[in-house]
Amino acid sequence: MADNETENTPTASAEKDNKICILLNATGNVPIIKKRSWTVDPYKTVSWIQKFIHKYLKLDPSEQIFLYVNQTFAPAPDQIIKNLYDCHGTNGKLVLYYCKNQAWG
Amino acid sequence: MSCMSWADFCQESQELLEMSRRLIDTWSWEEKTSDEGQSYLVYKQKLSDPLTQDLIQIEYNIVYSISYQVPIMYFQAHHSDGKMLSLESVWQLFLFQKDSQYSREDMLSILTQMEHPVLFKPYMCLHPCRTAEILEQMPHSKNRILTFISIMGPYLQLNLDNGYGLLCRGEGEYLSDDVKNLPTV
Repeated sequence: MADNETENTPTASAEKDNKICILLNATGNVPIIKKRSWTVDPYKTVSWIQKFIHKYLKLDPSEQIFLYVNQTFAPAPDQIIKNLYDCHGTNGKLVLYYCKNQAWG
Repeated sequence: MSCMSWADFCQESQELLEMSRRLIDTWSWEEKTSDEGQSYLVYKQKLSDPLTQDLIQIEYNIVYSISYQVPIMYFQAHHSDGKMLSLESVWQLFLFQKDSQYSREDMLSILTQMEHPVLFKPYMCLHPCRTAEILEQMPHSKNRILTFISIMGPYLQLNLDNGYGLLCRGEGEYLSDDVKNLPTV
């Protein structure tokens, strides 16, 4: 993927130290995470954060986490955090909402 | 709350179309009659088949389901020679991205073929039985059509631009109260 390629270029690795602060908010029936502010590598993807929350909350494999911004829009899972932050960051933070859902079927 | 009325569907679709216009995207509105459920959103895109490199054209229709009172995503995929993709080839196409967290095998259990309620032709769709439940998890959504498309779309390689997330923000509504109250880190 293109994201992995950029990670190897020198400019990208220099930027890598500038971690992005994200704020996680629970909605719906999902358990809250006590520590709401996290700093993440800007080149991590949305699906990586979903996996992280899933693991952190020790959810059942049959449950999945959805992540969305502005309470409305769910970014594509392969989107990197840096792009999201550039578009949706406010006051140095990226506010993300998450909810869980049962697997399909 | 999670159920949408036909009027909601029309209004939020128009909002989505406005966002699409501002982002120079290509969503359009197809109106057969003005009756309930007889108009829908259309989006077309081309993908290359990861196995054969064949160019595939997919047409997505977001139709209102009168029985479930939620939007349904219908789609039809065609090879470059105009032949329609079978359900099996569509499964192959969307299963290919194995690395995604979205467990696709799982999603395929709701990918099925149904009659398009407006066109009366066989279309593939993601069954709407769980849609209301998903929309219910996002009670503050400003546009449920956008929420719906952005959640379901990535399973079918329909990825919306990040700009949609910005445009659905109401004027002057820059920060949620939660953020204001938080100490800066």
